[in-house]
Amino acid sequence: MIGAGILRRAAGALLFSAAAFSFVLEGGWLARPVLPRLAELTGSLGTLEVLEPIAFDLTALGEQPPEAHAYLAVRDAGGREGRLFLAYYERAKRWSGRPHDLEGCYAASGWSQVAARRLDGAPHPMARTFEREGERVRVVHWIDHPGAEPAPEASGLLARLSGASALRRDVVSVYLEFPLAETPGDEALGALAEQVSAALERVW
Amino acid sequence: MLGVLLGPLLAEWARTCAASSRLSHALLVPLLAAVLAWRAPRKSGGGLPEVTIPGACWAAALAAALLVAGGLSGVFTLSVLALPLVLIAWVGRAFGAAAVRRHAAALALLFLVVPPPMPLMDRATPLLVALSGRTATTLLRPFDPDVTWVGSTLGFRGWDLIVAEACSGSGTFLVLGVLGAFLAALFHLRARAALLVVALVFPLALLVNGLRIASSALVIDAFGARAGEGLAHELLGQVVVLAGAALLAWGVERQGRTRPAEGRP
Repeated sequence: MIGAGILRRAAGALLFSAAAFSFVLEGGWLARPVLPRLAELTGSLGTLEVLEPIAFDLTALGEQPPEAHAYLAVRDAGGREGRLFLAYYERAKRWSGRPHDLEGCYAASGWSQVAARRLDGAPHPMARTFEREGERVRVVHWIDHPGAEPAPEASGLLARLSGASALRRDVVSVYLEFPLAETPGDEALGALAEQVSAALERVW
Repeated sequence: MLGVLLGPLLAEWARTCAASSRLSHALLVPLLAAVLAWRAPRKSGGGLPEVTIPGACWAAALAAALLVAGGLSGVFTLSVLALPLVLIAWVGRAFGAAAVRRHAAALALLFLVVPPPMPLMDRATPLLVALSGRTATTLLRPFDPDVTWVGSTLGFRGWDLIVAEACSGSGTFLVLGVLGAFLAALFHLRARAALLVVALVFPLALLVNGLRIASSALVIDAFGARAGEGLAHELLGQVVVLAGAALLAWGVERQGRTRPAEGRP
């Protein structure tokens, strides 16, 4: 009976401690989100030149739109023009803790994925090729977390926990799209992703 | 005290469910569970507190682990999964193992407050869209032998209807799934019959969603594109889903009537 009492108290203490942790985290007293100043992403993001904002129908952002977004026409050092989309989620709105998977978005618009691979570079982006009615695009995308990116060989969660911004829930979903015929090579795309991530960190 | 500490998580859960048409049904789950708890069969001698409840301790420990894991990883589903476990632990601690057994159906139903993991939904949705489209084209073929479904676009009588993701059928599937589980528990169906009800939810959801798409196409064809937007379109969808829910309820009630009542108040 003494053992059962200890077991009960230990379980209760564990649960109350975890609930207290949940309280401070969910209540926003720990690791508050920070709105990035996306409007300051002008001029050059490394070797990527920002040309102009692109207008679009805001209803396309869905039922749970991001708290902030930027949709920009860009050009790389080789003169190739593409589009850069950044969406900030204060609480990583999607209930699995992330914004919508990019391939799902493209599929819903009638695009079929024909290739995908992980690129080198700090944000470890995915590069996907989509096709629709003869048109092909190459899209580099990643979920950007605040703070320095983890080393590639480290587990994402464990590595992020070592940073000061480890418990922050806010994220920026980034995608960079080029027509396939004019897309930079994968190494260049990885470098562009790294530059965009660094520029984002400066305004966040 | 525990309720206060979990308040922000509960508030976030309510906000998330209210904001998503596919999850809003989850707001009703606590009410449905309360109905089951109220109608739970009474057994003599139950409800007295016991000195030790190992099962409740494990539920408490697991809930604690999920709260911490969900908090550290930012995976909301994990955090919310802790909530029904917290209630199981509390019921076991306060009222004893007999109370947990007596209210097992209500406590089990509470797990349906947990939003299904989005990666899972993102993989299921394209399948639901494809099958819903096939159902819709089958229903519309008598009206147009050349009706087509490509991706999420219906081709009917020379014009195209792009079906939004909100009409993929995933919301209908979740609503009917919760309703099926609730009715199975309410009518005290045996395990096999209850599983059959839950399994039938999938084809029923496809039928309902296919019917919703087909009826929208017919309405638009008859009254123009504006008839496929706004309140009229929403009402049509709700009527079709309610009809499907009524069909499910009728089936479960018929199934429940075939066996004698056991322990009902």
